[in-house]
Amino acid sequence: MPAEGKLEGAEALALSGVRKSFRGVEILRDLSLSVREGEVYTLLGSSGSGKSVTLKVAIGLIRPDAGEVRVFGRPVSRLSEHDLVEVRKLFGMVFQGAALFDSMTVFENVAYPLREHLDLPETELRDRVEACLAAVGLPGAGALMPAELSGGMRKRIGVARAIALEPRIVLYDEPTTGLDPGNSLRIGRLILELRDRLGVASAVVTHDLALCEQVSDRVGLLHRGRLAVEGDRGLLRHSEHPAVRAFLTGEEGGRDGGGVPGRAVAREAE
Amino acid sequence: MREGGGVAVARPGVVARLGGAVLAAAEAAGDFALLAFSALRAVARPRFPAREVLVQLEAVGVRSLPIVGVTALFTGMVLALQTAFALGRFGARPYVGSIVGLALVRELGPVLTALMVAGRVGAGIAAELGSMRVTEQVDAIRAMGADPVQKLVLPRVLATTAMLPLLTVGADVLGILGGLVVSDLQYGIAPGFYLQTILRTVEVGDFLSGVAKTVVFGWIIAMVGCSTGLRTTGGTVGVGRSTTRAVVVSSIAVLVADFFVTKLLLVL
Ligand SMILES: Nc1ncnc2c1ncn2[C@@H]1O[C@H](COP(=O)(O)OP(=O)(O)OP(=O)(O)O)[C@@H](O)[C@H]1O
Ligand SMILES: [Mg+2]
Repeated sequence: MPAEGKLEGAEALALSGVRKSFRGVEILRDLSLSVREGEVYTLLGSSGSGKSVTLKVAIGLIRPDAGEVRVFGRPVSRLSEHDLVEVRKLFGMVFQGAALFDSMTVFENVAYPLREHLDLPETELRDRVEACLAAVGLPGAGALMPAELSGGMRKRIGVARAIALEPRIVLYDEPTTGLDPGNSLRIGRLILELRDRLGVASAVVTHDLALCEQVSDRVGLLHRGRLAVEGDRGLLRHSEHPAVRAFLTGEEGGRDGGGVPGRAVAREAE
Repeated sequence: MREGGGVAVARPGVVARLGGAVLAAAEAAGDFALLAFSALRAVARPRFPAREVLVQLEAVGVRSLPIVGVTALFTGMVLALQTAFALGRFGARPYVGSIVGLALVRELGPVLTALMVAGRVGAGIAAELGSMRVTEQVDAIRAMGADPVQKLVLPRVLATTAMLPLLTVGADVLGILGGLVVSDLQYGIAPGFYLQTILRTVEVGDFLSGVAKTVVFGWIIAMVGCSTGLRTTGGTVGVGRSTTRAVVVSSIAVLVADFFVTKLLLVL
């Protein structure tokens, strides 16, 4: 059922011709990619290739120098911060460093988007937060402070917070880095469940090749600021594309001295 | 030859650095103005962060009491010592209260309180928002469709602006009390007489003008703290830099603003 549903989904998120430089160094140059409803799109790329920047451009945290971002067909890259609020309600985002609010309990962290956008009665709020915590394997963790959590627990709370509002699009920045195999599998199952149950469009950035195999409907490889290759979940196993080989071996294949300075080492976590 | 070359190289470096510094300052000022404007607009937004304002009122007000109190107490004491010493030359020592009271209420109470709060609260705000910035918590707020200005800046600005005048009133009282103790123990001026001289010299207007200034100071301290904090880049090192900068900038801004606000109040 999911296998056929996913290809028919409407375009949920699209980047086209996106460019972004930081201090004269071009990180993204003409990047185009799209994620459909009910699809899990995995974005791979070596460290420093601009994957996190890509996700932040998608949700409007970073404005592209050129190019366009569309969310359910609506161009959003030139919206004001105020108008972006409506767009961002459709998103959930897992930050690479979890970005939990240190001053709040785990419960308040997960409740944050709910309190911001819904007027739920306190009991229902409690139930929804608890359900999200259970979904990431941390039921009853609500009373803890972020400083009391391990790295992997923080990451999972970050996932719980991202899905709390039942968003239509979820951006995962390395959701399983630092997790044990069992919990990585659990996160993978959660990503798939959201896809199948709610038709969520997911963009997953990861170095975890097992996760990539587990969840991806499509895989793209970011290389030198562009989408070098796109394919199915077996892309890394089958493709002989030089960018794929470079990604896997850490040896630069091409000769055009890229704008990504001196970092081509691909580290496959776990 | 070599030296000449060295100078030629150094010169554009200095100019460029100066230019860079001016540009950076202009950019910071622009960001500050924008932030001040957004904070003003955020007051009227729905979902006013009442709970966070309460939390900040406590953090800024209640927890600044000890440091502000000790400062005021000892300032009043040393002021009484110095004034009595100086007045002794004119045989006017009993009128210590008049001078101590006026100096505290009009100037020292407000400014010293503001400087202590700049050190404690301004630094705290810059450090907290700076860490939130570098750990992407500020981005997380935005990503969840919330407004960092409303969530972070507004409560801190409101709380500091509201609390500084109250702290100043407390400082005035404690300072006068410190002066009273020293006058009594050191110079044998009866507390009753000391207070009488104060009540006779210090008018309500003196007191109000001193307290009114601190509304401006409170706003400056919180805004500088927030603005510097939110502009933080460069990890934990950057947080340290922002914290120092917030204290330096807000302290100087308080002193400069004090001169102009006082002048304005004297005209009114
Ligand atoms: N706000 C910023 N200011 C300046 N440079 C930035 C900023 N954000 C990212 N960069 C630069 O952009 C490049 C890509 O960063 P990004 O975080 O997207 O990498 P990544 O692909 O996510 O790497 P990793 O797998 O290690 O997380 C890096 O060289 C980084 O230094
Ligand atoms: Mg990254």
